[in-house]
Amino acid sequence: MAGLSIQNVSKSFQLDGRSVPALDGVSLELEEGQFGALIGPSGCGKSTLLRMVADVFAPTAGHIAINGAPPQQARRDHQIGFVFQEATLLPWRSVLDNVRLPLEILGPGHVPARSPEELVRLVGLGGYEHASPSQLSGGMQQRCAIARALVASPRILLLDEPFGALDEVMRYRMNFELLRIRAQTRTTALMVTHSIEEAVLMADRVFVFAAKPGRIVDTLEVDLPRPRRLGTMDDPRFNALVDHARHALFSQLPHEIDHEVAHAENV
Amino acid sequence: MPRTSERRVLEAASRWLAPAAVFLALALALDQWVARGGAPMTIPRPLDVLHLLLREQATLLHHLGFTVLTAGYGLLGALLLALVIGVAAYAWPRVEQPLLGYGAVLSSVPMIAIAPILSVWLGLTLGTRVLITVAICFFPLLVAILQGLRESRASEQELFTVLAATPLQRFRLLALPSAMPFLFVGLKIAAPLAVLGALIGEWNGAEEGLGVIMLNAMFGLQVQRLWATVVVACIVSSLTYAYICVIERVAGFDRTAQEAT
Repeated sequence: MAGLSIQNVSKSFQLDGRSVPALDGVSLELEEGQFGALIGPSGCGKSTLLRMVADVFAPTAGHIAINGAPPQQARRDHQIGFVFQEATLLPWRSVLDNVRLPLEILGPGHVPARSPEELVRLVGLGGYEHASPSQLSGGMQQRCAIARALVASPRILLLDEPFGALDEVMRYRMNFELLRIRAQTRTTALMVTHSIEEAVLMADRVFVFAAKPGRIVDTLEVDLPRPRRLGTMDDPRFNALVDHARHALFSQLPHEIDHEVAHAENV
Repeated sequence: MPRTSERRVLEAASRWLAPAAVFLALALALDQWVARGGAPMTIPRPLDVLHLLLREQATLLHHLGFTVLTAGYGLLGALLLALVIGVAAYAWPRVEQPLLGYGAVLSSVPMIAIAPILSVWLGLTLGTRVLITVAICFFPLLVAILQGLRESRASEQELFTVLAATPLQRFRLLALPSAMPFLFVGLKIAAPLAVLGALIGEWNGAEEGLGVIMLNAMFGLQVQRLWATVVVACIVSSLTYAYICVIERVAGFDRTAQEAT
Protein backbone atom coordinates (compact mmCIF):
# COMPACT_ATOMS: atom_id res chain seq x y z
CA MET A 1 0.00 0.00 0.00
CA ALA A 2 1.08 3.60 -0.57
CA GLY A 3 2.08 5.76 2.36
CA LEU A 4 3.69 4.72 5.61
CA SER A 5 2.77 1.64 7.59
CA ILE A 6 4.26 0.77 10.97
CA GLN A 7 3.11 -2.55 12.43
CA ASN A 8 3.77 -3.59 16.01
CA VAL A 9 7.28 -2.14 16.10
CA SER A 10 9.40 -2.61 19.23
CA LYS A 11 12.94 -1.53 19.95
CA SER A 12 15.19 -2.22 22.90
CA PHE A 13 18.74 -1.01 23.49
CA GLN A 14 21.55 -2.80 25.30
CA LEU A 15 22.73 -0.77 28.29
CA ASP A 16 25.35 -2.20 30.67
CA GLY A 17 24.41 -5.70 29.54
CA ARG A 18 20.72 -5.13 30.27
CA SER A 19 18.05 -4.84 27.62
CA VAL A 20 16.15 -1.56 28.01
CA PRO A 21 12.88 -1.31 26.04
CA ALA A 22 12.61 2.02 24.18
CA LEU A 23 9.49 1.30 22.15
CA ASP A 24 6.84 -1.34 22.70
CA GLY A 25 4.38 -2.45 20.04
CA VAL A 26 3.90 0.78 18.10
CA SER A 27 1.52 0.74 15.13
CA LEU A 28 0.51 3.63 12.92
CA GLU A 29 -0.62 4.32 9.37
CA LEU A 30 -0.24 7.35 7.13
CA GLU A 31 -1.75 7.55 3.66
CA GLU A 32 0.36 8.93 0.85
CA GLY A 33 0.52 12.73 1.10
CA GLN A 34 -0.65 12.80 4.71
CA PHE A 35 1.14 14.69 7.47
CA GLY A 36 1.66 12.85 10.76
CA ALA A 37 2.92 14.29 14.03
CA LEU A 38 4.41 12.42 17.00
CA ILE A 39 4.16 14.12 20.39
CA GLY A 40 5.17 12.81 23.77
CA PRO A 41 7.51 13.34 26.70
CA SER A 42 11.29 13.23 26.32
CA GLY A 43 12.66 9.72 26.11
CA CYS A 44 9.44 8.16 24.80
CA GLY A 45 11.20 6.88 21.68
CA LYS A 46 9.68 9.22 19.07
CA SER A 47 13.08 10.06 17.57
CA THR A 48 14.01 6.38 17.73
CA LEU A 49 10.91 5.51 15.70
CA LEU A 50 11.78 8.19 13.13
CA ARG A 51 15.31 6.79 12.77
CA MET A 52 13.97 3.28 12.26
CA VAL A 53 11.70 4.57 9.47
CA ALA A 54 14.85 6.15 7.96
CA ASP A 55 16.76 2.86 8.41
CA VAL A 56 19.45 4.47 10.57
CA PHE A 57 18.91 1.38 12.71
CA ALA A 58 16.54 -1.58 12.58
CA PRO A 59 13.62 -2.40 14.91
CA THR A 60 13.96 -5.30 17.36
CA ALA A 61 10.54 -6.57 16.26
CA GLY A 62 7.73 -5.52 13.93
CA HIS A 63 7.44 -4.24 10.35
CA ILE A 64 7.82 -0.88 8.69
CA ALA A 65 6.81 -0.27 5.07
CA ILE A 66 7.27 2.90 3.02
CA ASN A 67 5.02 2.67 -0.04
CA GLY A 68 5.07 -1.08 0.44
CA ALA A 69 8.89 -1.38 0.60
CA PRO A 70 11.05 -1.99 3.68
CA PRO A 71 13.07 1.01 4.98
CA GLN A 72 16.40 -0.45 3.76
CA GLN A 73 15.12 -0.42 0.20
CA ALA A 74 13.51 3.01 0.53
CA ARG A 75 16.78 4.42 1.85
CA ARG A 76 18.86 2.82 -0.90
CA ASP A 77 16.40 4.14 -3.47
CA HIS A 78 16.88 7.63 -2.01
CA GLN A 79 13.20 7.98 -1.12
CA ILE A 80 13.78 9.43 2.35
CA GLY A 81 14.28 13.07 3.26
CA PHE A 82 15.38 13.75 6.83
CA VAL A 83 15.49 17.04 8.73
CA PHE A 84 17.42 16.94 12.00
CA GLN A 85 16.92 19.01 15.12
CA GLU A 86 20.14 20.83 14.27
CA ALA A 87 20.32 21.96 10.65
CA THR A 88 23.45 19.80 10.15
CA LEU A 89 24.71 21.84 7.22
CA LEU A 90 28.28 21.19 6.11
CA PRO A 91 30.11 24.40 7.09
CA TRP A 92 32.59 24.28 4.20
CA ARG A 93 29.78 24.30 1.60
CA SER A 94 27.66 27.22 0.46
CA VAL A 95 23.86 27.16 0.87
CA LEU A 96 23.40 25.99 -2.72
CA ASP A 97 26.12 23.33 -2.45
CA ASN A 98 24.55 22.02 0.76
CA VAL A 99 21.20 21.68 -1.01
CA ARG A 100 22.98 19.92 -3.91
CA LEU A 101 24.64 17.33 -1.65
CA PRO A 102 21.99 14.56 -2.08
CA LEU A 103 22.19 14.95 -5.87
CA GLU A 104 25.99 14.53 -5.77
CA ILE A 105 25.51 11.32 -3.83
CA LEU A 106 22.86 10.14 -6.32
CA GLY A 107 25.22 10.70 -9.23
CA PRO A 108 24.80 12.48 -12.55
CA GLY A 109 22.11 10.10 -13.86
CA HIS A 110 19.41 11.55 -11.63
CA VAL A 111 17.38 14.48 -12.97
CA PRO A 112 15.68 16.27 -10.06
CA ALA A 113 12.03 17.29 -10.35
CA ARG A 114 13.03 20.69 -8.96
CA SER A 115 16.47 22.19 -9.41
CA PRO A 116 18.45 23.07 -6.27
CA GLU A 117 18.24 26.74 -7.31
CA GLU A 118 14.44 26.50 -7.46
CA LEU A 119 14.26 24.82 -4.03
CA VAL A 120 16.52 27.46 -2.48
CA ARG A 121 14.06 30.09 -3.73
CA LEU A 122 11.07 27.99 -2.60
CA VAL A 123 12.31 27.96 1.01
CA GLY A 124 12.87 31.72 0.84
CA LEU A 125 16.65 31.78 0.62
CA GLY A 126 16.86 33.42 -2.82
CA GLY A 127 19.90 35.72 -2.83
CA TYR A 128 21.70 33.60 -0.23
CA GLU A 129 22.78 30.83 -2.65
CA HIS A 130 26.48 31.52 -2.14
CA ALA A 131 26.37 32.44 1.55
CA SER A 132 28.10 30.13 4.00
CA PRO A 133 25.92 28.46 6.67
CA SER A 134 27.66 30.38 9.46
CA GLN A 135 26.30 33.58 7.96
CA LEU A 136 22.67 32.41 8.29
CA SER A 137 20.33 32.64 11.28
CA GLY A 138 19.03 29.44 12.90
CA GLY A 139 15.73 29.67 11.03
CA MET A 140 17.44 30.19 7.68
CA GLN A 141 19.78 27.26 8.32
CA GLN A 142 16.80 25.02 9.03
CA ARG A 143 15.08 26.19 5.82
CA CYS A 144 18.24 25.25 3.93
CA ALA A 145 18.12 21.81 5.59
CA ILE A 146 14.48 21.41 4.45
CA ALA A 147 15.45 22.31 0.87
CA ARG A 148 18.22 19.70 1.05
CA ALA A 149 15.78 17.08 2.36
CA LEU A 150 13.44 17.75 -0.59
CA VAL A 151 15.93 18.06 -3.46
CA ALA A 152 15.99 14.37 -4.40
CA SER A 153 12.15 14.28 -4.47
CA PRO A 154 11.75 11.86 -1.55
CA ARG A 155 8.54 9.86 -1.12
CA ILE A 156 8.60 10.54 2.61
CA LEU A 157 9.87 13.50 4.64
CA LEU A 158 10.94 12.80 8.24
CA LEU A 159 11.39 15.74 10.61
CA ASP A 160 12.94 15.35 14.06
CA GLU A 161 11.90 18.41 16.10
CA PRO A 162 13.02 20.60 13.23
CA PHE A 163 12.02 23.88 14.88
CA GLY A 164 12.68 22.95 18.51
CA ALA A 165 15.61 25.35 18.84
CA LEU A 166 13.71 28.37 17.47
CA ASP A 167 11.77 30.97 19.41
CA GLU A 168 7.95 30.87 19.36
CA VAL A 169 7.38 33.49 16.68
CA MET A 170 10.04 32.09 14.36
CA ARG A 171 8.67 28.60 14.92
CA TYR A 172 5.17 29.55 13.76
CA ARG A 173 6.65 31.28 10.72
CA MET A 174 8.59 28.12 9.90
CA ASN A 175 5.47 25.98 10.45
CA PHE A 176 3.58 27.92 7.79
CA GLU A 177 6.64 27.91 5.50
CA LEU A 178 6.79 24.14 5.76
CA LEU A 179 3.04 23.78 5.13
CA ARG A 180 3.34 26.03 2.07
CA ILE A 181 6.33 24.08 0.70
CA ARG A 182 4.67 20.74 1.33
CA ALA A 183 1.45 21.86 -0.33
CA GLN A 184 3.56 22.17 -3.50
CA THR A 185 5.55 18.95 -3.17
CA ARG A 186 2.77 16.73 -1.67
CA THR A 187 5.24 14.54 0.16
CA THR A 188 4.15 12.21 2.94
CA ALA A 189 5.59 13.65 6.17
CA LEU A 190 6.17 12.49 9.73
CA MET A 191 7.30 15.04 12.31
CA VAL A 192 8.44 14.67 15.90
CA THR A 193 7.61 17.65 18.10
CA HIS A 194 7.37 18.72 21.73
CA SER A 195 4.64 21.23 21.00
CA ILE A 196 0.99 20.16 21.07
CA GLU A 197 -0.07 23.29 19.16
CA GLU A 198 2.53 22.67 16.47
CA ALA A 199 1.38 19.06 16.07
CA VAL A 200 -2.31 19.97 15.70
CA LEU A 201 -1.58 22.96 13.44
CA MET A 202 0.51 20.96 10.97
CA ALA A 203 -0.78 17.40 10.95
CA ASP A 204 -3.61 15.33 9.56
CA ARG A 205 -2.98 12.78 12.30
CA VAL A 206 -1.42 13.27 15.72
CA PHE A 207 0.01 10.27 17.57
CA VAL A 208 0.31 10.80 21.33
CA PHE A 209 3.13 8.83 22.98
CA ALA A 210 3.75 7.74 26.55
CA ALA A 211 7.20 6.89 27.92
CA LYS A 212 8.80 3.88 29.64
CA PRO A 213 8.37 2.02 27.43
CA GLY A 214 7.42 4.23 24.48
CA ARG A 215 3.96 3.47 23.10
CA ILE A 216 1.05 5.23 21.42
CA VAL A 217 -1.75 6.06 23.86
CA ASP A 218 -4.00 8.08 21.54
CA THR A 219 -4.44 8.99 17.89
CA LEU A 220 -6.18 12.22 16.84
CA GLU A 221 -7.70 12.84 13.40
CA VAL A 222 -7.25 16.53 12.65
CA ASP A 223 -9.99 17.49 10.18
CA LEU A 224 -9.22 21.22 10.14
CA PRO A 225 -9.42 22.71 6.62
CA ARG A 226 -6.29 23.39 4.57
CA PRO A 227 -4.50 25.62 3.92
CA ARG A 228 -3.97 26.15 7.62
CA ARG A 229 -3.44 29.77 8.67
CA LEU A 230 -2.72 31.73 11.84
CA GLY A 231 -6.51 32.06 12.13
CA THR A 232 -6.75 28.25 12.31
CA MET A 233 -5.60 28.54 15.90
CA ASP A 234 -8.72 30.61 16.74
CA ASP A 235 -10.96 27.81 15.47
CA PRO A 236 -12.81 26.18 18.42
CA ARG A 237 -12.10 22.76 16.87
CA PHE A 238 -8.35 23.53 16.98
CA ASN A 239 -8.54 24.31 20.67
CA ALA A 240 -10.70 21.26 21.36
CA LEU A 241 -8.10 19.05 19.65
CA VAL A 242 -5.24 20.70 21.57
CA ASP A 243 -7.13 20.14 24.83
CA HIS A 244 -7.81 16.54 23.89
CA ALA A 245 -4.13 15.93 23.04
CA ARG A 246 -3.03 17.57 26.29
CA HIS A 247 -5.35 15.33 28.33
CA ALA A 248 -4.05 12.27 26.48
CA LEU A 249 -0.47 13.39 27.05
CA PHE A 250 -0.92 14.01 30.77
CA SER A 251 -3.29 11.13 31.43
CA GLN A 252 -0.31 8.94 32.29
CA LEU A 253 1.20 11.21 34.89
CA PRO A 254 -1.39 13.15 36.94
CA HIS A 255 -0.63 11.20 40.10
CA GLU A 256 3.10 11.69 39.70
CA ILE A 257 2.71 15.42 39.12
CA ASP A 258 0.22 15.89 41.97
CA HIS A 259 2.53 13.97 44.22
CA GLU A 260 5.54 16.07 43.24
CA VAL A 261 3.65 19.33 43.71
CA ALA A 262 2.41 18.24 47.13
CA HIS A 263 5.91 17.18 48.05
CA ALA A 264 7.40 20.48 46.85
CA GLU A 265 4.82 22.50 48.80
CA ASN A 266 5.44 20.56 51.98
CA VAL A 267 9.20 21.12 51.90
CA MET B 1 35.22 56.43 4.30
CA PRO B 2 37.81 58.15 6.50
CA ARG B 3 36.60 56.47 9.65
CA THR B 4 37.23 52.91 8.58
CA SER B 5 40.57 53.77 6.98
CA GLU B 6 41.56 55.55 10.20
CA ARG B 7 40.62 52.49 12.18
CA ARG B 8 42.52 50.30 9.77
CA VAL B 9 45.67 52.37 10.28
CA LEU B 10 45.23 52.09 14.04
CA GLU B 11 44.71 48.35 13.77
CA ALA B 12 47.83 47.95 11.63
CA ALA B 13 49.74 50.10 14.10
CA SER B 14 48.72 48.00 17.07
CA ARG B 15 49.36 44.80 15.15
CA TRP B 16 52.73 45.55 13.53
CA LEU B 17 54.16 48.89 14.63
CA ALA B 18 53.89 48.44 18.40
CA PRO B 19 55.63 45.02 18.51
CA ALA B 20 58.23 46.28 16.02
CA ALA B 21 58.90 49.33 18.18
CA VAL B 22 59.29 47.18 21.30
CA PHE B 23 61.65 44.87 19.44
CA LEU B 24 63.70 47.80 18.15
CA ALA B 25 63.94 49.38 21.62
CA LEU B 26 65.11 46.08 23.16
CA ALA B 27 67.66 45.57 20.39
CA LEU B 28 69.07 49.08 20.87
CA ALA B 29 69.23 48.63 24.65
CA LEU B 30 71.06 45.33 24.14
CA ASP B 31 73.39 47.04 21.66
CA GLN B 32 74.26 49.76 24.22
CA TRP B 33 74.75 47.17 26.98
CA VAL B 34 77.18 45.12 24.89
CA ALA B 35 78.95 48.25 23.60
CA ARG B 36 79.70 49.37 27.17
CA GLY B 37 81.32 46.02 27.88
CA GLY B 38 78.90 44.75 30.49
CA ALA B 39 77.75 41.65 28.56
CA PRO B 40 79.41 38.24 28.27
CA MET B 41 81.41 37.68 25.10
CA THR B 42 78.87 35.17 23.73
CA ILE B 43 76.47 38.04 23.13
CA PRO B 44 77.33 40.14 20.09
CA ARG B 45 76.14 43.65 19.32
CA PRO B 46 72.85 43.35 17.38
CA LEU B 47 74.09 46.05 14.99
CA ASP B 48 77.16 43.96 14.21
CA VAL B 49 74.95 40.93 13.53
CA LEU B 50 72.79 43.04 11.22
CA HIS B 51 75.90 44.29 9.49
CA LEU B 52 77.16 40.75 8.97
CA LEU B 53 73.75 39.66 7.68
CA LEU B 54 73.88 42.37 5.02
CA ARG B 55 77.53 41.81 4.16
CA GLU B 56 77.24 38.03 3.75
CA GLN B 57 73.71 37.80 2.48
CA ALA B 58 74.74 36.11 -0.77
CA THR B 59 76.53 33.28 1.10
CA LEU B 60 73.77 32.93 3.66
CA LEU B 61 71.06 32.80 0.97
CA HIS B 62 73.04 30.22 -0.99
CA HIS B 63 73.27 27.92 2.04
CA LEU B 64 69.71 28.69 3.14
CA GLY B 65 68.51 27.37 -0.22
CA PHE B 66 69.76 23.87 0.66
CA THR B 67 68.16 23.99 4.10
CA VAL B 68 64.80 25.11 2.69
CA LEU B 69 64.96 22.40 0.04
CA THR B 70 65.57 19.71 2.67
CA ALA B 71 62.79 21.11 4.89
CA GLY B 72 60.38 21.28 1.95
CA TYR B 73 61.03 17.70 0.79
CA GLY B 74 60.84 16.50 4.38
CA LEU B 75 57.55 18.24 5.12
CA LEU B 76 56.02 17.01 1.87
CA GLY B 77 57.24 13.45 2.55
CA ALA B 78 55.87 13.52 6.10
CA LEU B 79 52.53 14.88 4.83
CA LEU B 80 52.18 12.14 2.21
CA LEU B 81 53.16 9.42 4.67
CA ALA B 82 50.76 10.75 7.35
CA LEU B 83 47.95 10.98 4.77
CA VAL B 84 48.47 7.41 3.56
CA ILE B 85 48.67 5.98 7.08
CA GLY B 86 45.88 8.24 8.37
CA VAL B 87 43.51 7.15 5.60
CA ALA B 88 44.45 3.50 6.18
CA ALA B 89 43.65 3.90 9.88
CA TYR B 90 40.34 5.54 8.91
CA ALA B 91 39.51 2.56 6.71
CA TRP B 92 40.58 0.01 9.37
CA PRO B 93 39.79 1.64 12.75
CA ARG B 94 41.34 -1.30 14.61
CA VAL B 95 44.88 -0.26 13.71
CA GLU B 96 44.44 3.33 14.92
CA GLN B 97 45.25 2.83 18.62
CA PRO B 98 48.35 0.62 18.10
CA LEU B 99 49.50 3.06 15.42
CA LEU B 100 49.20 6.04 17.75
CA GLY B 101 51.06 4.08 20.43
CA TYR B 102 53.99 3.27 18.14
CA GLY B 103 53.94 6.81 16.77
CA ALA B 104 54.08 8.34 20.25
CA VAL B 105 57.03 6.15 21.26
CA LEU B 106 58.90 6.76 18.00
CA SER B 107 58.33 10.50 18.18
CA SER B 108 59.71 10.58 21.72
CA VAL B 109 63.07 9.24 20.46
CA PRO B 110 65.42 12.26 20.50
CA MET B 111 66.22 12.83 16.85
CA ILE B 112 69.39 14.73 17.69
CA ALA B 113 70.81 11.53 19.20
CA ILE B 114 69.56 9.20 16.46
CA ALA B 115 70.60 11.40 13.55
CA PRO B 116 74.33 10.47 13.65
CA ILE B 117 73.41 6.77 13.63
CA LEU B 118 71.13 7.30 10.64
CA SER B 119 73.94 9.16 8.91
CA VAL B 120 76.31 6.26 9.51
CA TRP B 121 73.80 3.75 8.18
CA LEU B 122 72.53 5.70 5.21
CA GLY B 123 75.41 7.98 4.35
CA LEU B 124 75.71 11.76 4.33
CA THR B 125 73.20 12.34 1.56
CA LEU B 126 70.26 14.60 0.96
CA GLY B 127 68.07 11.51 1.42
CA THR B 128 69.29 11.01 4.99
CA ARG B 129 68.64 14.64 5.88
CA VAL B 130 65.17 14.48 4.34
CA LEU B 131 64.48 11.27 6.29
CA ILE B 132 65.42 12.98 9.57
CA THR B 133 63.07 15.83 8.69
CA VAL B 134 60.27 13.40 7.83
CA ALA B 135 60.74 11.64 11.19
CA ILE B 136 60.41 14.93 13.08
CA CYS B 137 57.36 16.21 11.16
CA PHE B 138 55.43 12.96 10.83
CA PHE B 139 53.77 12.47 14.21
CA PRO B 140 52.07 15.88 14.65
CA LEU B 141 50.68 15.49 11.14
CA LEU B 142 49.43 11.95 11.79
CA VAL B 143 47.69 12.95 15.04
CA ALA B 144 46.06 15.91 13.29
CA ILE B 145 44.85 13.80 10.36
CA LEU B 146 43.52 10.95 12.53
CA GLN B 147 41.70 13.41 14.79
CA GLY B 148 40.35 15.33 11.81
CA LEU B 149 39.03 12.28 9.96
CA ARG B 150 37.00 11.34 13.07
CA GLU B 151 35.76 14.85 13.67
CA SER B 152 32.35 14.80 11.95
CA ARG B 153 29.33 15.05 14.26
CA ALA B 154 26.93 12.16 14.90
CA SER B 155 24.12 13.98 13.07
CA GLU B 156 26.39 14.45 10.03
CA GLN B 157 27.08 10.72 10.03
CA GLU B 158 23.33 10.02 10.26
CA LEU B 159 22.72 12.43 7.38
CA PHE B 160 25.08 10.45 5.16
CA THR B 161 23.44 7.21 6.29
CA VAL B 162 19.98 8.49 5.35
CA LEU B 163 21.35 9.69 2.01
CA ALA B 164 22.67 6.15 1.40
CA ALA B 165 26.19 7.44 0.69
CA THR B 166 28.83 4.86 -0.24
CA PRO B 167 31.87 4.59 2.09
CA LEU B 168 33.95 6.40 -0.52
CA GLN B 169 31.42 9.24 -0.75
CA ARG B 170 31.32 9.47 3.04
CA PHE B 171 35.11 9.81 3.03
CA ARG B 172 35.31 12.28 0.16
CA LEU B 173 32.33 14.48 1.01
CA LEU B 174 32.39 14.36 4.83
CA ALA B 175 35.51 12.96 6.53
CA LEU B 176 38.13 14.63 4.34
CA PRO B 177 36.65 18.15 4.36
CA SER B 178 36.04 17.81 8.14
CA ALA B 179 39.73 16.95 8.56
CA MET B 180 41.10 19.93 6.63
CA PRO B 181 41.12 22.49 9.50
CA PHE B 182 42.93 19.87 11.64
CA LEU B 183 45.37 19.13 8.84
CA PHE B 184 46.29 22.81 8.73
CA VAL B 185 46.81 22.91 12.49
CA GLY B 186 49.18 19.96 12.06
CA LEU B 187 50.98 21.68 9.18
CA LYS B 188 51.42 24.87 11.22
CA ILE B 189 53.17 22.81 13.90
CA ALA B 190 55.13 20.68 11.43
CA ALA B 191 56.42 23.42 9.10
CA PRO B 192 58.77 25.11 11.62
CA LEU B 193 59.74 21.61 12.80
CA ALA B 194 60.78 20.81 9.23
CA VAL B 195 63.32 23.67 9.33
CA LEU B 196 64.63 22.30 12.63
CA GLY B 197 64.84 18.80 11.15
CA ALA B 198 66.81 20.08 8.16
CA LEU B 199 69.24 21.87 10.52
CA ILE B 200 69.74 18.73 12.61
CA GLY B 201 70.38 16.80 9.39
CA GLU B 202 72.98 19.32 8.31
CA TRP B 203 74.71 19.30 11.70
CA ASN B 204 75.35 15.63 11.15
CA GLY B 205 77.21 16.14 8.00
CA ALA B 206 76.56 18.09 4.86
CA GLU B 207 78.62 20.22 2.57
CA GLU B 208 76.15 23.05 2.19
CA GLY B 209 73.30 24.39 4.28
CA LEU B 210 72.54 26.83 7.07
CA GLY B 211 73.26 24.12 9.64
CA VAL B 212 76.79 23.73 8.28
CA ILE B 213 77.48 27.45 8.67
CA MET B 214 75.96 27.35 12.14
CA LEU B 215 78.23 24.49 13.19
CA ASN B 216 81.37 26.04 11.69
CA ALA B 217 80.63 29.38 13.35
CA MET B 218 80.09 27.64 16.69
CA PHE B 219 83.39 25.78 16.60
CA GLY B 220 85.20 28.80 15.22
CA LEU B 221 83.85 31.01 18.03
CA GLN B 222 82.45 33.37 15.42
CA VAL B 223 79.75 34.74 17.70
CA GLN B 224 78.31 37.28 15.28
CA ARG B 225 78.13 34.71 12.48
CA LEU B 226 76.46 32.17 14.76
CA TRP B 227 73.82 34.65 15.84
CA ALA B 228 73.29 35.69 12.25
CA THR B 229 72.43 32.08 11.32
CA VAL B 230 70.10 31.88 14.34
CA VAL B 231 68.29 35.01 13.16
CA VAL B 232 67.98 33.59 9.64
CA ALA B 233 66.66 30.27 10.98
CA CYS B 234 64.05 32.12 13.10
CA ILE B 235 62.91 34.21 10.15
CA VAL B 236 62.62 31.16 7.89
CA SER B 237 60.68 29.17 10.51
CA SER B 238 58.24 32.03 10.97
CA LEU B 239 57.87 32.39 7.21
CA THR B 240 57.02 28.69 6.79
CA TYR B 241 54.28 29.15 9.41
CA ALA B 242 53.01 32.26 7.63
CA TYR B 243 53.13 30.40 4.30
CA ILE B 244 50.86 27.64 5.68
CA CYS B 245 48.47 30.30 7.03
CA VAL B 246 48.29 31.92 3.58
CA ILE B 247 47.56 28.56 1.88
CA GLU B 248 44.88 27.87 4.49
CA ARG B 249 43.19 31.18 3.80
CA VAL B 250 43.41 30.89 0.02
CA ALA B 251 42.04 27.32 0.14
CA GLY B 252 39.14 28.60 2.24
CA PHE B 253 39.66 26.47 5.35
CA ASP B 254 40.34 29.38 7.67
CA ARG B 255 37.11 29.30 9.73
CA THR B 256 37.97 32.45 11.70
CA ALA B 257 38.29 34.46 8.51
CA GLN B 258 34.96 33.08 7.24
CA GLU B 259 33.10 34.12 10.34
CA ALA B 260 34.61 37.59 10.29
CA THR B 261 33.20 38.39 6.83
